[in-house]
Amino acid sequence: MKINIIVAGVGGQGNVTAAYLLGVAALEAGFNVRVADVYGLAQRGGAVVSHVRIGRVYSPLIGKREADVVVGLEPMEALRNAAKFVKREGVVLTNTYPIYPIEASVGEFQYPEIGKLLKAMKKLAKTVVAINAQRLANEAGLPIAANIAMLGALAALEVLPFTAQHMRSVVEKYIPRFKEENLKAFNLGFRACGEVLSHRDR
Amino acid sequence: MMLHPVLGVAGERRLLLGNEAVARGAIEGGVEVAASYPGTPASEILETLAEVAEEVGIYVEWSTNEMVAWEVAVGAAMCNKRSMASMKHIGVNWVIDPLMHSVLHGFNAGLLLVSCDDPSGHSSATEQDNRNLAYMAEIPILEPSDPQEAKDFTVEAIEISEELRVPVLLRLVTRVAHTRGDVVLGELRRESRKPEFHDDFYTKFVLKKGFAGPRVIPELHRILHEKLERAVKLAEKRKLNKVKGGGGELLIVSSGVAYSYVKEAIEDLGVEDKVTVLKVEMVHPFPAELLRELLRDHRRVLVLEEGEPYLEREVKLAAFDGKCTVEVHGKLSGKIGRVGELDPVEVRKAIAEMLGVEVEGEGPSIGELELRELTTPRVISFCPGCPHRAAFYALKKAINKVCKGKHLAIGDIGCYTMGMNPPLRVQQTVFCMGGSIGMACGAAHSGLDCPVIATAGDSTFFHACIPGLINAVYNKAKLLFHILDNEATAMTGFQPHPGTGKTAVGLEARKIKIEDVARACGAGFVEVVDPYDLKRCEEVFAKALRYEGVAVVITRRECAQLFLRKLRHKGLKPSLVVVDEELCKGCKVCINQFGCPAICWDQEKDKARVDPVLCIGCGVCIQVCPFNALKWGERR
Ligand SMILES: Cc1ncc(C[n+]2csc(CCOP(=O)(O)OP(=O)(O)O)c2C)c(N)n1
Ligand code: SF4
Repeated sequence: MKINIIVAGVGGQGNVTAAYLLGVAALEAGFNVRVADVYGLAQRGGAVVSHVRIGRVYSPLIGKREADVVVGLEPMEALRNAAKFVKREGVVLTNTYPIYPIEASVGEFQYPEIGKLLKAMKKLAKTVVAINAQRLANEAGLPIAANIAMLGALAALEVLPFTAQHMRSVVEKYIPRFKEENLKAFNLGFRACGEVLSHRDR
Repeated sequence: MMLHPVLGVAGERRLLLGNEAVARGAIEGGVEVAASYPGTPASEILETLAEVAEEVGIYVEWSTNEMVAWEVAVGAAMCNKRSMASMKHIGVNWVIDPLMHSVLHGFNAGLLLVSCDDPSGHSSATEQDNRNLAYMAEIPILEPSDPQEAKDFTVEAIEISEELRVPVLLRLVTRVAHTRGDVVLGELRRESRKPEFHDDFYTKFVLKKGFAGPRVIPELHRILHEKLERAVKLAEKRKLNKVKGGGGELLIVSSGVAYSYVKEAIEDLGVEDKVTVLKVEMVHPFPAELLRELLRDHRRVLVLEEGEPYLEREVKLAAFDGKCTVEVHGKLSGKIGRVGELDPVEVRKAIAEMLGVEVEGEGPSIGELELRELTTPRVISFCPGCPHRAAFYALKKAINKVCKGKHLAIGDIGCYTMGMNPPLRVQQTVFCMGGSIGMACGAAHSGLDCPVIATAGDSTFFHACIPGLINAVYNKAKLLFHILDNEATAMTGFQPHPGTGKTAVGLEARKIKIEDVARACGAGFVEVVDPYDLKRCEEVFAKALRYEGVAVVITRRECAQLFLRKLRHKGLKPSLVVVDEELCKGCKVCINQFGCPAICWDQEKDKARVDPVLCIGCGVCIQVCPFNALKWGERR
C-alpha cells in the first residue's frame, strides 16, 4: 500500500502544518511516512508544496503524475500542481478562494475565473472537488483555519488509510491554540466535501 | 506541555525532520557543545538543540559565522567534550582553513561537521557537493539516506571520530534535512565529561619536535593517512556499507537520498532479483575492496548519487586498480543529468533502461499554453511593511538626485537581496556573504565615474563585513556602505545575532552596535536612520553619496514579520492605511515604484486599493503618494 498526496498553497496558508498533521496521523496509525516540504521564502508570498507519502515508501518525493490526491489550499496552486503531479485516476481537492500573485495586483496578469481553473483540473483528474474553505474557516471563527477545513474535506474523500475520526483527533491533539474553532473548521470541511460527493454520485 | 518531539524515550516512533533527527542523534551521541550559523536547509539542527539545551544540559550557540562555529566545536573537543558544528553547504567554505588544520590534530572527544548541501539551489546560490571538500580535507564522510539514518549516522559519526581522533563530515542534502520521516528513537546519553585539555599535536609534536616545518608536517599528514586506513576497517566492523539483493549482472552503487529513490524504484519495477545494490554509507574512504569483490560477478555498474559524480569516480578508480573490465554509467556517462537534483522518476527510468524493462508513460496533461494562460509564477518580494523596501526607496531617490541615477551597487545575501527585483532594482549584482564591501573597494579603486555602494544586512555585517570595512578605510576607498539593520537574521528564520542582545537559548547578551563597530573601524561618516522616515533617510543618503571617504549609513527598524508576531502575541491588531478614492489620480507610484504587496489595483474603479489583511500599517506609502490619497484608516 502506498498513498501519495500533494499539499500545495501559498506561504502563510498553513501548508506545512497541514502536511505535518497528515504525516503525524499516518504515523500514529502505524504507517511509514515521508513528508517533504518545498518552499523558498514562504513568508514572502511564494508558492509552497508538500509531498506527503504514506505506506511502503522510501523516497521523499512524489514523481511526476504519481499523486493520488492533490490538495490545493489555493486554486491556482491546485492547478499548477495538478498539471505536474495528479494521476489520471486521482483526485484534485481544491479551495476556491484565490490569493492573488503580485502580477495580478499590479494588473499585469488577469487572475482566471475559478470556473476556468476547475475546467482545466477536470482534464487532468477523474475527480475534482471544490469547496470554499476560506468561507468555512471564517464561519468557524478562525480565518487562518482554511488549511484545517481542507484536512476535514480530505478526510471525507475516503482515500486516507485511516478514519476521519483519527484525523480529527490528531488535529485536536497537535494544534495547541483555538482548538474549538479548528475542530469546527475541520467538521465544516468534512461536511462540505461530503455534500459535493453525494451530489456527484446522484 | 507536550514533551519536545526530540526528547521522546528510547524505542518510541516519532515523526522527525531530518534536521531534528540529527539533533536527537547529537544528544544520543553525547554531544555537549554545538555551534552553528543560520542557513537553509541546516538551521533546524541548532534551533532544535537550543530548544532543549537547558533540559539536556548542553551548551549551544549561534556563532557569528561558520568559521567561528567550527572553531568553537574544535576548542570544545580539545577540552574533552564531544562537539559539533552544523551549517549549510556554503558555510563550509568558511570552515576550510581551520578544518584543514584541525584534521592534523587529535582529540579525546568526537568532533562532527554537519553540512546540509542544497542541490538545485532551492535556497542557495550554488549547488556545491561538500563530499569534494571533505575529500580534500581527507576526513571520513557519512551520508544518511533518510531521517532515521540522519539520527543513527550522527551517533556513528561521533563515535568514529572519537575512535580515529579525526573530524568526521555528516553530509545531508535538502531532501534529507527537510524531510520528515518516522524515526525510532535510541537511548539518550546524559553524562557530562570532565573538561581537560588534550591535543596529540601538543603532546607528540610541540613538546618533542616543534610545531611546524618539514620535520613535523609530513609526519602529521602520514598519521592522517593511517587514520583513513583504519576508517575503512572501522566501516566494516560497524557494518556501514551494505550489499542488498543479488543476482543479474547489474550492480547499482548508491548513497544518501539517491538510495531511497533506488530502493523504491527496484520495488516498483519488481526487479529485486535482477540487480545487486551497494549502498555506500561511509563514502570516504571509499570501500574499494568491497566493490572489487562485487565486480567479479557484475559487468555493468550504474552509479546513482545526489550531487557531483563523486562515487562514480571512486568506482572507476577502484575498477581500474583491480583491472576489472566493466561498464560504468552515471552522471559522467550522461545516463543521469549532471546538474540539478535527482528526480525519483529519472532514477527509475535509468534502472529500467539498464535492465531493458518497460515503464509506463505519464497520464495526459493539459497544454503548456493553457497552463501558462491560467497560472503565473509567484515572484517573491519584501513583505508589506518591510523596512528594507522603505530604505531602498529612499536610497534610490537620493541616487536619482545626487548622481542622476548612475551608480554601482553591489548587494549581499539576505532579505535585502530582493532590492535587485523590480520595482526598486537598486543593486546590480550579488555574490556571497560579506562579498559586497570587499568588492566595492575594488570597484571604487577602478576609476568608475559614479558612486559605488555596498549593501549588507545586520547579521551579514557581523558575519563577514568587518575586515572589508577596515580595508576600505585603510586603503582610502570612496564608497557608501549601506547596512540594512532589521534586528534579525530574517531570511533564514529570524535567528538572533550579536546585534540583537539575545543568545540562541534566549539569554540576555550585550548588544553590539554596528555604529560603534563602524566608528571603531575608522569610518569618517556614520549615521543611523529610521527607514520609515523617508525624507530624513533620503537626506542622509544624499550626504553620504557626496562624502569623500567611507560613509556608513545604517537604516534600522525591526523586521515587519517580527513586529507582527510581537503585536499578535499581545493580542493587538496593526494600524491600517486606506485609499481616499477622491484623491487617488491613478498614477500607480505606490505600486510601480514602491511595490508594497498590500496595495493592489482595482481594475473597475481604476484606483489603488489597500488589502486590509496584508497591510501592517507601517504608513510609509502615505509618504510615497504624491496626491495624499493614502491615509490612516480604522480597523473594524
Ligand atoms: C556563508 C553563508 N552562510 C549562511 C547563509 C545563509 N543566509 C542567507 S541570507 C542570510 C541572512 C542574512 O541576514 P541579514 O544580513 O540580517 O539580512 P536579512 O535577511 O535580515 O535582511 C543567511 C544567514 C549564506 N547565504 N551564506
Ligand atoms: S521577513 Fe522581514 S526583512 Fe524579510 S522581507 Fe519580510 S519584513 Fe522584510
